Amino acid sequence: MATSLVDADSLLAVDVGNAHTRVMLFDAVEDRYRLIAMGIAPSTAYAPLHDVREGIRNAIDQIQSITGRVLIDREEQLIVPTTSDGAGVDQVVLTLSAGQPLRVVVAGVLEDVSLRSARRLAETIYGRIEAQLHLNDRLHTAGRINTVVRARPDVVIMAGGVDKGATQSVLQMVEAVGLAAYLIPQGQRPEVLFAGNRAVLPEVQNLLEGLVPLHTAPNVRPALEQEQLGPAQEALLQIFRNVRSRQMGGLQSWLAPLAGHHTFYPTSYAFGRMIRFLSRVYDPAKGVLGVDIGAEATTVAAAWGGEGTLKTMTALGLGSSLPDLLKHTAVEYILRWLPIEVSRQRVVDYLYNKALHPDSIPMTAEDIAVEQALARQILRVALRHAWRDFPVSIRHRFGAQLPYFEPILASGSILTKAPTAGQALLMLLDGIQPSGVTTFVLDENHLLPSLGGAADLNPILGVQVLESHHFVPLATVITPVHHLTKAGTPILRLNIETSSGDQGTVEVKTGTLRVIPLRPGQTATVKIQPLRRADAGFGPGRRGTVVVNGSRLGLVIDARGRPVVLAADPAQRREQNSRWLSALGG
Amino acid sequence: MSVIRPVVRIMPVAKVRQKRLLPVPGRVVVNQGKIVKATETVAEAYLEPRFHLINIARSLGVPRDEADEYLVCHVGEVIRKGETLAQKGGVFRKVVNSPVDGEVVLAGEGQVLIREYVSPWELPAGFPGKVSKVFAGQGVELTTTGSVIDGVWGNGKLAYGLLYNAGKSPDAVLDAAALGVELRGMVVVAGRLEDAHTLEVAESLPVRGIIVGSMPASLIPEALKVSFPIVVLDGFGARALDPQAFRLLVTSEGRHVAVLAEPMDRYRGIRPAVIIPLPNAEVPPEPPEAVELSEGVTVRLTRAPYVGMLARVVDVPPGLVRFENGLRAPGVEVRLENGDRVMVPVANVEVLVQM
Repeated sequence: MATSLVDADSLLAVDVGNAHTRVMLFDAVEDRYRLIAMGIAPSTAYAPLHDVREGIRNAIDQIQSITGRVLIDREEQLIVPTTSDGAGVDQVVLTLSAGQPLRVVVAGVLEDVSLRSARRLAETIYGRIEAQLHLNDRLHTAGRINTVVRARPDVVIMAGGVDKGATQSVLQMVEAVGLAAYLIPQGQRPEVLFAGNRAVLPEVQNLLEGLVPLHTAPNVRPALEQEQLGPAQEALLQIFRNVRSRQMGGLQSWLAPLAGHHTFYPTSYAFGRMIRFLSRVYDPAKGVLGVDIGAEATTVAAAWGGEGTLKTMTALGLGSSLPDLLKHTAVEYILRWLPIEVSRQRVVDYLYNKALHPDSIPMTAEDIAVEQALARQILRVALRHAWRDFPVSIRHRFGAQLPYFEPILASGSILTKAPTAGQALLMLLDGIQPSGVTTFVLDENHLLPSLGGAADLNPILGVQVLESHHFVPLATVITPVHHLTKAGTPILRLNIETSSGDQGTVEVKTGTLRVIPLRPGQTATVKIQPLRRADAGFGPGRRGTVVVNGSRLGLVIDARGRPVVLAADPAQRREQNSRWLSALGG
Repeated sequence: MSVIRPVVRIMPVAKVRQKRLLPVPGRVVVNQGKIVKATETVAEAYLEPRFHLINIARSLGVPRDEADEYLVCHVGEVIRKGETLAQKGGVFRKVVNSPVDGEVVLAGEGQVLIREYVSPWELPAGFPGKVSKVFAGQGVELTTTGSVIDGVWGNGKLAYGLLYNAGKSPDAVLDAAALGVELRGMVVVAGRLEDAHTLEVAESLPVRGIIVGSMPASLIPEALKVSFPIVVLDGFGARALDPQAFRLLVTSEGRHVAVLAEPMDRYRGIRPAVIIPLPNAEVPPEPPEAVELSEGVTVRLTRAPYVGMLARVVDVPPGLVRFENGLRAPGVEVRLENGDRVMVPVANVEVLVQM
């Protein structure tokens, strides 16, 4: 990919999470953009400070200390743009995941058409759906009014009626939302996005303008089989900025002096943006997958040829929302991933205790094992939900199996700060259960959202940083899909020739994880021969050849089958989990 | 870099500031400076407002654009159930009556919208004190002098009653057999709660409240159902009550205690608390809301293997620390009570204010 440096603007990326605030300084060095320094500090969005600026300032101080570069002036303001003596930065990108989930009401006509699109929009901005209104909700207008008033929404997303389609049903919804908004005290009224049948737009404006902050966008469902979320997504981003600026102490004050030099996105949206960009760069026959397990939400972004899906699940985080995981999965599904014996009671206690101290870090072997088991199950649940929004053609082609993705990018401290690379990879393999050939890449410095957010200001920067050493691949994994339950059956034969001239043949048996070391800087040509009609990504029983680049763990073959089947007996299951972890280096 | 950590109060005598906030926006009914009793209402809100939309046009059988001429009610009018909202005379007289007691909030375009009159939910003060701040539409901050212990979990209820210590040690389990009729109306303290049967017996008395160091998380569904407040001070599982807190509660036996079992809310800065008002002529120290970690600060460790232990900060190294298990995070070196020096993640400490 040819890239060139056009303008050497420095950029400060600020990511405010619920637990941590990260600040990253990017600048041109020897004609290429690089990450110069990074600072991280506890976030201060909540009690007792209720002001994001303290955490941002602490993180910037670290960068000043590391680089000697002055970024803050005597009035305690960030210096923008860069001065003649090199102080300050030219551009700022802010990504934000901190804050309570936005309270969202979605309203549509048909539950599985317009309402579904409205729901998908809500899930891109850390929204929690408090109420849903649609034609078949068995509510009269008064019921809908009561529903909206009691939901106390920050945002109402309205869709419905294909173009040249239903108008009366749409207007009934709009009327109910308008009456509800009228009844809500002035300072508490929601922002409303209308992205439905354009034919009723004048009446919508007549009913709602002056009553609520009204945003409009082209119909998300211009036809029954056509969905276009892009323009509505843009409008929703502005709504997110408006709401968070009001809710979050210090945010507006910090952003105001940066006018004209900054962009501001939800972290998950910026992350998804980067995944979509990468899907245009990599093999068009496969998609690109990104997963981010955060303190208060888990994000799954999947993209094919520049188009993608984004799902941010606020009920699936490793922090204060952890008890909500039990609404989506049974404790037994968490216990199955443990390599040591931990009672059901202790796991439930752990879950609730972690929610009391959401930013705390597991230190003992037992706590680490439990937290990693939780991460696996969060990934399983998140992917199950995300799968429902994958393109129909993809779902039809792959059925229940995860589609082919290359690469898979992973973020979140539980993954990127895992004690060993083997633990990080096994969480990903167990949680995601990919198939075919894929490469796992860890976003160790949580750069992807910032790069996604910076794309408006500086498209070259993202490309060049991605090509740098900050994204070291974790492993390339070959997964032959098979349904053999008996372990120990040969299922794959590999003929490997490395760039340094080493050659070898490897036979892999069912039920195993096998590592073939291949360091960064090395490459290998791998001829894959599936046995017993296993599918390694080329079709059942079909051979293929791939060139593999070296990585931290090298080439890994996951022959455990899909889905991964664990022993029914708890002791055997623990032995399985321990054995697989040992195979990856422990 | 300054590392600020939240504060946990276990204080025998302090100036206690406690927020009392509505769960939904509403109305504060007291002024700043007012002295309030524990049971006095400080704010109110309509938790589940109910609105009724009456289609006058359809009820009268007239076109929508004609219906308004038959209206006899107006916006802002207080209306009783059965009173007339609209009527049409003539041979086929028709009347539309209000289905509920309430207030007319909209009347026009053939419809009448009524807010049903329901009693507002009232937020009591919870303990006797002075209103030191008013947060318009949200609640108040109350101030008093007394003992305060911050908790970690509450079942959402509150009470004010006399304190009884049911445990001989911080590790003592609250036993159903120990809950006799003499404990009816008392706030019972023990080291641990272990089983649902104890809660059933407590409910049957009933007690005024329960304060424990820990309980199994599996008891949460039952704990949410009982009629009295439950405050868990330390965590879930089978942990002993914090020794400092235990001593404070034992020495306070027989005094009135406020059990504010509000769920932890990091966004609004609310956590459950136990407050024992004390008349005190002197102005006691006021604990800070947050403290910067520095040498000498007392902290409590929140994660295994040191969970619940007290320590003093020795050093706060810059940047990330690599721990023995391979994890990397901001760290703080502390000296435990047994003299050992250990490095722990900053995220795993909370500052303990005891004074």
